[in-house]
Parts: sequence; structure tokens; C-alpha cells
Amino acid sequence: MSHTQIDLQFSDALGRAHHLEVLTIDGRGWHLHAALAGRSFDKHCGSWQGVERTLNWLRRHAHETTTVPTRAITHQVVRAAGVAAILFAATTGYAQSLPLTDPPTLTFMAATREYAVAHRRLEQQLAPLQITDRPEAIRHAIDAMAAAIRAERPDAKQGDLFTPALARELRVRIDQALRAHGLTAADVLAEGAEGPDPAMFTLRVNGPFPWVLSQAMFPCVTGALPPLPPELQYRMVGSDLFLIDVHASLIVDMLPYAIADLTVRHER
Amino acid sequence: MTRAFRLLIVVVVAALFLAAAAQVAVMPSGEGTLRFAVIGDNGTGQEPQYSVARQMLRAHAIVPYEFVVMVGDNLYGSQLPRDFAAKFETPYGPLLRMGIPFYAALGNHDKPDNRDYPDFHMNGQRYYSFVKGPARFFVFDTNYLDARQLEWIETALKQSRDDWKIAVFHHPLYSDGDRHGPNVSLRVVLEPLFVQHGVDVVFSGHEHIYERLKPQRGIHYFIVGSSGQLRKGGMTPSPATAAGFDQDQAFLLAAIDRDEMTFQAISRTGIAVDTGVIRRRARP
Repeated sequence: MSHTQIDLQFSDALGRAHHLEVLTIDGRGWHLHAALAGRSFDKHCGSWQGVERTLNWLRRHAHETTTVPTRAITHQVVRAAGVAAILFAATTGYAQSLPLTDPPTLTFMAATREYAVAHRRLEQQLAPLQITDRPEAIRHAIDAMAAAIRAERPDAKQGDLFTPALARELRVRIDQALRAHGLTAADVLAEGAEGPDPAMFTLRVNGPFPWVLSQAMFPCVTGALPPLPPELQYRMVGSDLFLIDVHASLIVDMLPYAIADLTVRHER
Repeated sequence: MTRAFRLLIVVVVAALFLAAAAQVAVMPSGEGTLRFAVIGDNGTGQEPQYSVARQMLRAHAIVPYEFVVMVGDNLYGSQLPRDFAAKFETPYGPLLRMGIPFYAALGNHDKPDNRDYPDFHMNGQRYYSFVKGPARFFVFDTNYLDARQLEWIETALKQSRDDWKIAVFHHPLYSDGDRHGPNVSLRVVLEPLFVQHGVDVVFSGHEHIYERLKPQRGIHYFIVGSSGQLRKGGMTPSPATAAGFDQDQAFLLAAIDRDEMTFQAISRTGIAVDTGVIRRRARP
């Protein structure tokens, strides 16, 4: 059984310093303990997000004499407890990615290389996207590229590259990468929470990718997925994984429910 | 009205004008001093962005900065040609017409193809570097930090022999903003490279506040994320906070003179909300 203890300092609303112990055992959540005004504060958090919520709650209320609630609210972000847990997890978990030698992954990588070759050929035929002082010219070039790719792949459909066999593999990789870094599906969803509701958009293969939905990819997730040629990128929208042609702003494929332990599903 | 009284009015008005202008203090201006401005999360096309832009123009009369660094979310929402005009070309028009270049990083609201827009000086690249005087600026795309970009970052940092190494990217590694907070998954990947290869300063945005953090492992971190957007009251200071301002929009002025960077954070109304001097890290 492996455990680690992290000692944190935080200041309450009156500026007084407090000490918080954070103990994690075998990666099964975190136990928080602090001595507040003579009272013992103890709480177990199953997720890193819970730790950060609790720490932020403590910052605001540790100076009070009322009983602390067992559940914090709000959309507060990571503080030192989660940071230390992630740093600890990262040093042990980052090097534990699955090797990219399984047949579905190799097939996928070959397919993306093939896609990139076609992309470059089409780009040359159209003349590549140039630096221009006219935004409308950029937009026109993107639209032209997207139309060319649709004409090249008229029957493209979901699952052409994210095959069912690969889908299982990717879900495992993403889940392992998140867990190794002390992250959860909720953290991924929170990253995109400030954007519009994806349900407002029609997301389909060969359709445009609305960048307004785009959220930053967690490097640990990107690192766990098969590498891509420069024309393609992964993006998460909610719990779904998208393969995007960046130059054409085009959805090449999509994997619904890529996050295994999801709690929110988008119906389409 | 007597002549003396009229003269008194003139003197008082002049004093008030100078007092307002003096909020932007004179910064180092010797030969070889490198002066620049930093803005972030600015591309709203709304009045506060325009107000900050006017303040930047006023500040330029006192501190004639040579270029502007944009830390991302350069355009919000629709990014049609008319949006480039409303959210970038018009508010910063006077500066652009003076020939002041803007160097942009991509934020999570920016379309990747905005790297082809010439006034962002990205030369079609998601990540790039440029040199100004003694400083090299490394601009990253933290929306998509893949192995290829990481390899480039490590190589570029390692090869740089510039006196100052300044990193520019959207998602902050350290932050006391309430909405997003620090991006720890990026920190575990980038910070070791920054420490190993001597990065001096990091400018980020994403959190719609201004914050300067105490040096973390020798590196100075700034969040300049309120040059258009603002999350009022959106910061909870921590022991890592050196200074913060979340009550109004703001931008940053900086001047590098040999081993020192003098900086001023200026609010939308022209008040200096943070000032200081930092020294670059010693090189081995």
C-alpha cells in the first residue's frame, strides 16, 4: 500500500495562516485534516476537484466558529492540495502510457498518414493557405479546403478512423492518463464549461468544427493518444473526442463518450 | 474675470493634466532599453476594450513602447472579417498606424487559422519565437501541447543565448483566479523546461484578472487577462500572490534595461495598479 502526505499552508479570510494535511493512500482519494480554532476538521474527497473545492471553502470559512459543512460548492479551481497530488501522480504516472503497437492503433496511425498525404495533395491543387491581410481570404481558403476534402471523402462517416476496436483502446488510454494525473472526467468537462452548449451545434463527420466549442487539451491526454500528422489535431468537446483537420476546420472523425467515467452525456 | 484668475485656472488645469498623465510613470529610457506592452483576453469588440486601447495610446506618449504582446483570446465569438475590424483593427488602429507590431499567442477562443493573419505576426505558425534587443520571446500554443511542440520548445529554449528568455502563452501555470486557476497539467510539462533552460518571465492570460505572482522556482509569472474581458472580484489572493487587480480592465507596460525589467500594470482608467522591477536570472 503506497501513500503520500502533503502539508499545505493556507490563509483564512482574516489573514491567519493554517496548516492542512492531505493524505492519499493507493490513489484512492484524499483525506484532509486541519486543526481549526481548537476543532478538528476532517474530510475525505474522492476527487481532486473535491480537494480544491474544500480548500477554497476553508479559505473563506476557516475563521468562523460554526460547524463546517461536509460538502463545498462553487466552481473554484485547483490549489496546492490538488497541485501536489497531480505533481506526485505525474512523476509516477506519466511514463506509464500504453505502447502504441496494438493493431488498431497502428491501423489508425496509417490511416492518418494517408489522410495527411491526401490533404497535402489537395492543398497543393488549391494553393496553400497564405498569410494575407484579408481575413475574408483566410475564410475562403478554409472553405475551399473543406469542400475539397468532402469531395475526396464523400462517404466519410463516424468510426472510419476511430474504429470500434480503437475506440475501446482510446477510452482506456484517456482514462488511465487522467487517473495517473489525479484528474477526473469532471475536470475535463469543467475545462469546456465556459463555452456554449454543444447541443446547440450539429457536429458530424465532414462538417465544420465550431472552434467556439474547443477547449484546451490536457497534455497528459494528448500524450496518451496516438501521434498525428501536423494537419490533424485532437479536441475534446464535453466528453467526446474529435479528430480535426486544422487547416480546413473540418471534423474528420468523432468518438462519443471518450471519457470512460463520464457523468454527463450529450444527446445528438 | 481678472487676468490673474484666468492664469490660475490655466495653471490648475495644467497641473491636473500632468497629475493624470503621471499615473504612467517614466520608465527606463536609455539607449538599448526595450519597451513593450502586454495585453490579453482583449478581443471583445466592446467599449472596455476600446477604453483600454485608448489608455494604451496615452501611455505610448509617455512610454513609447515598440511592440505589443498578446497572450491569447485575441478575438472572441465570431471571427469573420468584420470581427477583425471591430475587435482588433479599430481599437488598436492608432498604434497599428504608428507601425507598432502585435505578436499574438493563440487562446482557447482563437481560431487556429488566425495564425495566418499578418497583423498577429505569427507567420502561419501556432508557436514561434522572435528576438527584440536582449530578449527572446517564445510564444506557445497551450491549446494543443503535443509532443512536436514540446520538442520545439525544448530545442528553442536550449539553443537560445539571449539575455532574457520570456515565455508567452495563454493558460497560466500559476494563478489565483477563481474561474480557472492554475493549469497544473501544463505546469508539470513546461515548468521543468523553463527552470532547466533559464526562462526569466512568463506572460499568460485566460483568467480575466491581472495578477503578478511571487517568483516560482526563480521565474516571474504575470497574468494579463483583463485587457477587454474582466471577471470583477474574480481573484482570491494566496501566499503566492505578489499583486493583483480584479476591479477593472488593465494592461501591462514593461521596459528591459540590461539585467532589469521595470513594469507597470495600468488600469482602464489610467491608474498604475502595480509597479516594480525584477532582475533576470543569472546565467551559468
